[in-house]
Amino acid sequence: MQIALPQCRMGAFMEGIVVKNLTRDFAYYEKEAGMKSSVKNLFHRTKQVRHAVKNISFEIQKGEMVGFLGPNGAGKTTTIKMLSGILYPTSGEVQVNGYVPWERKKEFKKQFAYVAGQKSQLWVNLPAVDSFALNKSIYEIPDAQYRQTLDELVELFGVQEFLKVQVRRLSLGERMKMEMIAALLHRPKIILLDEPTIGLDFIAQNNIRQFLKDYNRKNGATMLLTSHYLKDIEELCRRTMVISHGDLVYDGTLEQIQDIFSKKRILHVHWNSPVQKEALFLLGTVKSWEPMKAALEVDDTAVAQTIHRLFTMFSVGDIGIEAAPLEESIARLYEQGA
Amino acid sequence: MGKYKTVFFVGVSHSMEYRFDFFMSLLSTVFPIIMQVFIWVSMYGSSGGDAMYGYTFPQMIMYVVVAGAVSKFTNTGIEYMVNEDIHSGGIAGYLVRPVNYIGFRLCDILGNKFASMITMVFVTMGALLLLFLTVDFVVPPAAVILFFPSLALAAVLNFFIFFCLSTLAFWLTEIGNFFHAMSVVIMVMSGGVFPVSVFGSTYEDISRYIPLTYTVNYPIRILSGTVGVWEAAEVLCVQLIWIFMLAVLGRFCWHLGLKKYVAVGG
Repeated sequence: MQIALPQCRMGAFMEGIVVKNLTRDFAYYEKEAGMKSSVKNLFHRTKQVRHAVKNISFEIQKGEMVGFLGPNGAGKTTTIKMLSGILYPTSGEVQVNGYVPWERKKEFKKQFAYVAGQKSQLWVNLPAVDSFALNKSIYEIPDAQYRQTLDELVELFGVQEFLKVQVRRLSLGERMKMEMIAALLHRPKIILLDEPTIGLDFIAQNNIRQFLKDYNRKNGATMLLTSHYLKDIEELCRRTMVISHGDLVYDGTLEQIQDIFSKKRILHVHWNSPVQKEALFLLGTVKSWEPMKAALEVDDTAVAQTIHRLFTMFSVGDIGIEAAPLEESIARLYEQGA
Repeated sequence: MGKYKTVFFVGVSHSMEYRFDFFMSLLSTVFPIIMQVFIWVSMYGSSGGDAMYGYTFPQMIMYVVVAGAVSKFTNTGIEYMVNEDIHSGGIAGYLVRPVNYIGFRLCDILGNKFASMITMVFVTMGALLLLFLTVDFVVPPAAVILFFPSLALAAVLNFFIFFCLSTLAFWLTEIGNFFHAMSVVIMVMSGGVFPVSVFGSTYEDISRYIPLTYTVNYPIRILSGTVGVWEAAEVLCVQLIWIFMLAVLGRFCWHLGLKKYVAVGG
């Protein structure tokens, strides 16, 4: 499956993110099991190269919220790190709001934020307000703007009562909210989020999602977001990029993934009288079966014909049609990149 | 500049969270000091009460007691922080923000040390009073006044010595034991256990030209009155020169390491 990628215009200043032919290789050493090879490795090590990101190109317009999906080790974090300037690329070009990230210019740092769900920038032994005050000075935020932004963010998250509590005493969800506030105090125009909802319960996940949505709407910030929770991407991002084994394998909407990759439909059937499982084998793949109901997977082209046969063969009480779960389509996409 | 002031004050509040820890660490230095006191009591006893290694008995006892506290105070632990930041990826949080890592860490540590500095003032005063009451030992006021700036500079100097060492963490993954070994060697060579003169005149001569003795030995000699006021002022200048040189070296190593970090990915 090859989806047309947008043409990049490097050189010309553009607000947003422009990535062209970005590649990143990592060198590593292999060691066979056992003592003998450990000794051998002292003198000679075989160098291997892993291609973490392979020649990817994309463009994100100002104000766009884009989801970045991929299995573990696909190259999501590596890409985000290159966009943040924490990692040099092996080759390729990147411009974030007109800046080359790895030059790490002060003006660039003041415009963007990098939030990693598994890395904290808060001081755990102090209340969050102390960390906020520190970011205020680091980003040189004027007093009035700081007050206003802080009040706004605190209200959006409803964390007023936790501001003065030692961060280590907060729950993971509350801590993540504080993390977000700390990262957004300087009102960044570009936000790179690496699994911001990881480990959170669904209420906290929902809060973070709602918050990001509001922030994007109010501030027109450009966001690139990785997550393993499809719901994050489904709710926040109209556009999704899928990376697998370092290749950008898809760039488009989530619904389209389903259209392209899922030619299957699930029929949920309730019978008026018990039906044997074996009797269904000819009609499609039996996903689940109980005497009075069953779920059958069929090709989308065979739906009408199968329903007709069901009605003629059995006494059908109720029938429902469902598309195959999105996860399955995405899993197929992941496999395709392999 | 404002940002580093904030870091300093956050450091101060941070250290307040660890009052108990600081007092415990002071306590933990007491035991080895008591052992040393016994050793010196027997050594001075057998020598007939003369000065040894250029120290009279009360001076030696004061040295041992104060050295324990001073080396505790000047020890910043920066090497472990840098190591942790490099290997856990915490460094990314500093790279993406408009802040200088070295300045940040220095101000954070100075802030953290601020409360201990106040404690040190009282501990030293108490020790001096005790010595005065028990063995009639008198320290000139000028020595006490010069001691505290030299102590503050010693902490900064110690920060940069260990900061330079800590940048090795960019190249070596397992470095904790090396740091531990180095800190013991550096503490002994700095005069953190007993006066440098114990190692003989050759090392004493060399020690004037290396930064280590300026972190413990010299500040205590200032306090004990074995160096005069002018020489003490000279010591402060030498401390400043070493701080400057090691800061330049540390910055250079940091940028070199960072280049590798950003190129290889930690």
